[in-house]
Amino acid sequence: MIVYVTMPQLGETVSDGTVTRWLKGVGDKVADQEPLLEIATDKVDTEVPSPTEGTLLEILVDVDTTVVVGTHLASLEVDSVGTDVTAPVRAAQIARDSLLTGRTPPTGLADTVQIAARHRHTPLVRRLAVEAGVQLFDLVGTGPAGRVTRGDVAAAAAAAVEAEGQVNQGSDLDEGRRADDGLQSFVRRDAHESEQGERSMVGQARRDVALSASPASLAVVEVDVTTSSGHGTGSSPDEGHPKEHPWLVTVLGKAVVEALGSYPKFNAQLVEGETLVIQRQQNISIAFATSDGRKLSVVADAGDLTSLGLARRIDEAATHWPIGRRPDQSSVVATFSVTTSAEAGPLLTTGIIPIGQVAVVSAGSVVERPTVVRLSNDERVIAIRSMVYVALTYDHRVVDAAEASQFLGAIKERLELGHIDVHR
Amino acid sequence: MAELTYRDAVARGIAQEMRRDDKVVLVGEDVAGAGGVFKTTVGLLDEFGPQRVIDTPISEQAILGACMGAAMTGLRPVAEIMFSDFFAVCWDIVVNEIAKTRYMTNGQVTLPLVIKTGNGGGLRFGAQHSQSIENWAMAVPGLKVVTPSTPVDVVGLMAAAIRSDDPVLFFEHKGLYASKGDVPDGEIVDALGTAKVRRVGTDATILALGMMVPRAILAAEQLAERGISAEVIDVRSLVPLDTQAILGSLSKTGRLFTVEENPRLLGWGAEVASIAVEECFWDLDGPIQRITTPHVPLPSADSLEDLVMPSADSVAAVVEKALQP
Repeated sequence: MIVYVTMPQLGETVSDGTVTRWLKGVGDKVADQEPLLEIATDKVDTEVPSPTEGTLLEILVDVDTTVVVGTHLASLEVDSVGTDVTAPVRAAQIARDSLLTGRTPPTGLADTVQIAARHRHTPLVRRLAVEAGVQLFDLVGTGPAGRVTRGDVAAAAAAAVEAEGQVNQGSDLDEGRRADDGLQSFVRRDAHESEQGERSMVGQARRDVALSASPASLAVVEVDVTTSSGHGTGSSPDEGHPKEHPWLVTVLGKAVVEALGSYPKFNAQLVEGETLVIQRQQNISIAFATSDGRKLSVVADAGDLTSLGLARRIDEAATHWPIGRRPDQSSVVATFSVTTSAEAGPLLTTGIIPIGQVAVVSAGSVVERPTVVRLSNDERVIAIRSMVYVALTYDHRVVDAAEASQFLGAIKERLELGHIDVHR
Repeated sequence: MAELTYRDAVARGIAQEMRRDDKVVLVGEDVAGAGGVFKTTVGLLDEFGPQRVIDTPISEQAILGACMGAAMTGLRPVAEIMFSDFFAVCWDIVVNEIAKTRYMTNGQVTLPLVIKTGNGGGLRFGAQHSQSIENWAMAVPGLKVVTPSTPVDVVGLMAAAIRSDDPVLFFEHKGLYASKGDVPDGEIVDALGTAKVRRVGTDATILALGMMVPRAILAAEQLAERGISAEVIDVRSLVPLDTQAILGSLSKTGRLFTVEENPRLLGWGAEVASIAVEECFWDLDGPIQRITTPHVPLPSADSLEDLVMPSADSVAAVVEKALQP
């Protein structure tokens, strides 16, 4: 990973400085805060320390050259484990930056993005820059005191589009970069909060995957719902459950909503295959079977509901879902989907991820099965337990197997604890 | 279409609703025989008679107590508090009784009651007869708060207020009573909780209320001559507040200014600014700025009164400075 050393702001009125001496040469190892170079300004002569431990990769400003505050002075190669100041960037972006700044990109710059927030920008400019893929770091503004205006962002974005056109003509380099990129964590760290929620960009490689390969992946867990169902206590779960839908729908819905609270990335929308918007509201689409046929409920803002409240809203929002047809349109846009099987239905089903959503949870039918149960004294017995397979089909562009496993584990844990009471 | 003064529009709006619904009655000091001290109820006694247009003794508590009881038992009264400053002597009945009745009776008793009042300064009436107190009312849950700035809005919003099943405080600006505007013939009914764009612009959003609206429009005209395109929104209704219109404009221009006649601390613009920052932070291209009267009682001296209240010039100057490249 590459980290830039930049010309520091050495006083409110100081806008530039001159490099007077380099204390390290290319290839030298430097320690964190070890002096790298000396600079002179109107007010003060000082040393510039290294921002991190690493190897001096390239000197970008020669001695006796005067540069403005924020200019990159040098690049350092840093062991990337455990750092989070940079994020992946595609080759086109690097080329774009070099066109914007008029500098040749240093070698090995493939995965570097500087965080824009190091300079002061208005919220609007920061949002526009993220949306346009413009790096504010390198922009020289035309506003007061060099402030970047929204016009500057628009101009830089237009220049970048032009630059991208040029880069695409020779793309051997591009291919290699994209392969690398695919291995990187692809949610950019310079995400910002919009009114909808957190927003971040998906890299080009992921976009290419989206066009060429099916991104759906599957994980399944077996869940013991004996406690949740109330079978252990002798009372029937649907007895007193005042609802049209089966008890499992409420219990699973509630468990999913709680798990989404802990793993908000699953409650995201993928916009145009490239922008991930983590939604604050949990609008849960729940499909289930009743004696009256198959139904679908979209419950808006399910995050704050009690189990009983959720159960009530599931009934209120239920619309028919005729076999082989799309369900009636809901006015609420779902952010996450849950499907359940009919009683004595299939043991395992996998849902189709609705377009724009990240994952779908599907439950098979509950069956009684002899199961090994570990008692509190660690003794093991075989008991008749109510078991169900819960499957998570997820978009592998957005979440990886480890995250899927954790999310599914959270759902399983909630269901098995039996804390979710359909009567409350 | 007829050209009406703001004061005549008040009487027209009330008359329109009194003709339509015989449950509507008008109660206040000098509203009947004298046609209102600000002549906002001229002709109503003649048309509707002393049973429905009622003069009262000088007691704001009595006016509002009687009207609250009337509203509870089936009438739709319009009460007048002559100067809005006098709300201070009957605030208990407004805040502790009128605003809370629907809630404390679990919705069993609603109060279809309008309290109209002469509000605002600029007329040399001194500190005790010139205040802008919309923000007092805005702070009390259970009240709707309306401040029209044009004759046609006076008619339409008065009709909407009278038809509301909940109490509405209707602030007429004393400084606008003589202003004129075209009012279409026939019934006019507006909607509470809606703002109006008075002038379209792209560089800055200026929110204004009551008499500050014409001043903000003048300021926008000055700014246009200096190359700044300001959008002016007449807020009209503080409760409910048309956040969609306000935030939509802010999202477009990136800059927000409020022009408030009230003293600065906790004026309505403070709440709007808070909402804007929470909802539209990523659309802001600079600080939100409030242009208000300073935190002082309004001075009696003519020159000082003019100095402290926001003017077209002061609004234009603040906006221009803030937008300077």
